Amino acid sequence: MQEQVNSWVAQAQKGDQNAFFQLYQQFKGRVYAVCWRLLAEQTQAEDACQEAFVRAWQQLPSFRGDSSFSTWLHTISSRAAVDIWRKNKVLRLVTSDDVEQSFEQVEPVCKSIEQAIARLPAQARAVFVLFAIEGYQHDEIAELLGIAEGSSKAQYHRARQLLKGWIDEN
Amino acid sequence: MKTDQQLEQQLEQALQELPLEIQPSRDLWPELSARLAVTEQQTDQPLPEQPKRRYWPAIAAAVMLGLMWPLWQGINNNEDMLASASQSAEPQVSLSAMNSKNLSPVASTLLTEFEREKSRQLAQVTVVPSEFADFQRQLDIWHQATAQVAFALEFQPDDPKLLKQLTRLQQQQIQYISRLVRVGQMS
Repeated sequence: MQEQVNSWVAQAQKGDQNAFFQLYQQFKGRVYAVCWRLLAEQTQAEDACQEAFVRAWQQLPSFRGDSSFSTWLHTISSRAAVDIWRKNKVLRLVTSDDVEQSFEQVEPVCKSIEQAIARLPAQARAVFVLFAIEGYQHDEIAELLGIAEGSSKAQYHRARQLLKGWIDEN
Repeated sequence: MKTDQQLEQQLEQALQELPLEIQPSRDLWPELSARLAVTEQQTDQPLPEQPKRRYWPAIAAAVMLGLMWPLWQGINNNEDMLASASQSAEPQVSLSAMNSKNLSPVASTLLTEFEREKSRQLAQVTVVPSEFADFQRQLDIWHQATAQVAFALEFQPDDPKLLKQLTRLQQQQIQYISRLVRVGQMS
């Protein structure tokens, strides 16, 4: 599969949209996952997912293969989602309906924790997703979200407490 | 009552079981493909400068859209406002832009794909729940807003902001109709 991906990347770098479509098909689930978890709202997650692939398309000529395409695309996706998160963080309100609707296709065993994460307050959720799921460090998260490193740590702690409280209740 | 350590373990286990992928509930490629086409055009062929006078219709359409938007939001939130809006906000904009030959291939594709998807989803509406009783009115207002953006696109065919505005309006409508279908099926 890696060889196939490399081949699609090489063709897409030359402007082949069909090859890029194959990359989209291969990675859309992974890209959408990070967008959804950060934004917890379907329309915004779709926007971020599209934006990530547009940026990837634009930046493909400069992709040198120092990391895998998957890692490279994942970084772009996180940043695209964070950019939308930063624009909308003041206005965001997640409704139960939004959350239910977005998990129709997720395995039931994972649905509950996904729902709990989606219902975290916006900043706590973003920090938690970036640190606990995406593997960013607090200094990186602070820079990405435009907050202090201490706030990132505090929000992460808050998110964990909320999630543990939710697990305890369920 | 679980101990904090047990809760930590359960949380860690739950996180490890999270899927790597979540598939979007609809196909994002048609809109993405249109945006890629625009991106290519912007990268390879800078837009020629257009006479200033050609900007005015686009600006006028954008202003009208801006005036319509709060009205739509008010209608969405308040049934009373819907009644007054129905008296004062009859469609005033020509919808001919939706079928105009002056649209770029990208905008035309977006409109065509959208209409196809909208028709497909509307065909699934079997029951209209009471909370969606005014859905036709809502769709009319969205349609008018879409027409205004399409009209602006006649003058600025490759403007990425207008194209994004168009896709955003289309996404909102598809979301709305799919929610209508889902709620209708549950009731």
